[in-house]
This record gives sequence, C-alpha cells and structure tokens, in this order.
Amino acid sequence: MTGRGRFAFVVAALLAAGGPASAHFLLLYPGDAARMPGGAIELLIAFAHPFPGAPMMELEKPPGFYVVRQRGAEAKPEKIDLTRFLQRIDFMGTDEKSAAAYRAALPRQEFRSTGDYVFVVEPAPFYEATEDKYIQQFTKTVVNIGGVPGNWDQDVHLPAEIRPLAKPYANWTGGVFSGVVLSDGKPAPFAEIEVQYMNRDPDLAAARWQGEPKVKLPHPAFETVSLRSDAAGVFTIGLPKAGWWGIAALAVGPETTFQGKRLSQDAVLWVQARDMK
Amino acid sequence: MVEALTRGRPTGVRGIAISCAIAAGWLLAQTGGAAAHSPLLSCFDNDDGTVTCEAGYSDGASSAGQTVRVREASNRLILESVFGSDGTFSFKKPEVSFVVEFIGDSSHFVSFDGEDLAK
Repeated sequence: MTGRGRFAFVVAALLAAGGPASAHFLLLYPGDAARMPGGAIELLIAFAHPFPGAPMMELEKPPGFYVVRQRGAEAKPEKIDLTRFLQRIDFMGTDEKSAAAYRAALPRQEFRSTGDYVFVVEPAPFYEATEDKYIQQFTKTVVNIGGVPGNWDQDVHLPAEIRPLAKPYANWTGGVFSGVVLSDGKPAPFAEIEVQYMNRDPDLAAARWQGEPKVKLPHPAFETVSLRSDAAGVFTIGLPKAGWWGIAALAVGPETTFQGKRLSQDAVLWVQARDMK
Repeated sequence: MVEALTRGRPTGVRGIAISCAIAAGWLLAQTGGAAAHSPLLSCFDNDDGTVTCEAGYSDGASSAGQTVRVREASNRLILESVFGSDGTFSFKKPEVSFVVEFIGDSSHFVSFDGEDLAK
C-alpha cells in the first residue's frame, strides 16, 4: 500500500469507528414556539431522524425533563420538574416501524403565564449498536408566550449545551441563526455540528408524522447540513424554509465513556422559522 | 459637562476627533440603551371571579409600579392601580364588559379587551 493509500485507509477507518452519530436528533417538539396565552402546550419527545422521519429509535423514559421559565429580564428563573407529565407512546416512523417515545400534556393554567420557557430533556445514554457506542443528547427547545422575553439566552448548565445568540422562537424564514456550542459551560472550538430540517410535522394524536415531505433533496449531502463552530465555539446557520430546524453539536460533553463503551454527549437545540405573510 | 468638554481642549483635526468622541459618549450616556421596546399586556380569567393581568415590554423591561386602569366599555373608570413587583395585577372580574389599560413608561400604552381573556 502506498503512503497515499495508507492515509485514505486510516481516514476511512477513523470515520467508521468514531464518525458522526448518523444525524440522530432527540426531538423536543412543542407545536409552535412563539405562542399567545391560553393555548394548551403538548410536547413530543422522540429519538428520530427528522428529515427522513425514519428510523425511529427506542427512547428510554428520560430521567431529566424540566422547564426553566422567566418573565422579563429582571425576574428570577423558575425551574419546574415535568417528569410527572411524561406518557409513553409508540411513535410511527415513515418506514411504518414504531418506537417508544413520550408525550407531555401540560396543564393549561400552570403554563399560561407570559415569558420564556426553556424546555430541557436530559436523556439516558442510548446504545447505538451499528456504531457500538452510546449517544446522549441534551436537548433544549425554547417557547415564548405573549412576547415578553426572559431567559432564552441563559445557560441551563448542561454537560453539552448550545447557547442561543438569537431568540430560537422568533426567526423569519430566510434569516440566519447563531449560537455558541458549550462543553461543560465553556465554548467548544471547532465542534462538529449537524443540522436537519424536520421534513414533516409530528401528529401527536396519531403518534406519527403527518403529510407529505415539505422538501425534496437535490443531493444526499443536503439531508444533513454539516459545519463546525469557530475558534470561539460560535456558529451561524441559514433558515431557508419555514418549520423546525434541529441543531446538534456532536461529542462536546466531557464524558467520553459509558459502561465500557464510547459515549457521545451531544447538545441539541431546536429552532423554528416562520414565514413573513 | 460643557465646561468639562472645553477645558484643556485639544487642537487640530485630532482634537476635533477626540472632542467628537467625548461628545458622542456623553450623549450615549444620557440616552442610555434607549431600547425600541413595546408594551405588552395579557390577562387571564382565574375561574374564581378574578382576573390576573401581566404586563411587560418586548425587551424584557419590567412594568413594576406602572399604571394599570380598568374601564367599562363606556370608558367609565372602574379602578386604577399599579403593577406589582412581579409585573402582575389581579382584580375582581367586572360584571360588565371591560377593557384593561397598561400605561407604561414614556407614554407607552396598550389595552386588553376583557372579551379576550385567556383561561
């Protein structure tokens, strides 16, 4: 084998062994992110590939599911445990195979106040057999009620986290979104980031994806947009289509092994873009 | 402040630049971060004969201590008070159609129709 051939072999082997987590995304879907007071909030938590909608992965009941809410810049944030609202469902993928997921219907009167609601899921590590490693995606979705902002740009101190530099719930289609990838609270330089568009909306009542795909791929490389954070951990993405965009920073958490196998602690943030009408 | 700006005034182009920078800084200090904020008001029916209203601003500024008025649809004033330290105000639900008004800073004003109460 020539020197060039050995190099190519080593690169291929490295990619196969420790490459990206195949665009897995933990969904934390609330319907609309920017809401007016009075509507019921129902969330879907599922482990999925949001662009193709399959395969769905079995999700163990998340040990951590909570919201940190705050109304106004001067108010104190309030953390509320939400695990009591988790209801197991079987969510059907577009391949007609279902997997365990969770829904959470929040009491209307307890979650009607205006302000920011930073919903967080801290899942147990998921064993991905095809990669012989564990994946643990710390996931945030920020909802606003009534327009008064609060803590959308505040960290919730996760091992792996994305700090938004713009409101994740107030983005026009065609705009850009920026954030900072954090590892244990510190900026993660040159972190590997994957972005996927949620190509169908979930139907919570039917526990499956609904409708036809919104986008057709021009090329397989467009299914997952790949980029890296800069030297300060900052990244910027475009939002060319209305809907939900999942951003995952891979293997940025401090823990790298779990039960004797590799562990990828990822940070996931969901951002919604809406059309100007 | 004017005296402070003119005392020991630098001369020449560099002096003009320095003076401009100082003046700009002074102006910024006086105006502060004059955010282009908008007043926001939401009201809820508590299902116990009372109404709670929450007021604030689009930049997260507080409404604490700022005026709230409740009027009949005919414009007759029912009550006037101020928002609490948490930006909320609760009152007995009027038996007639009503409007809640938030009179904020710098004459910011927004009203909420009692017919639109959220649950």
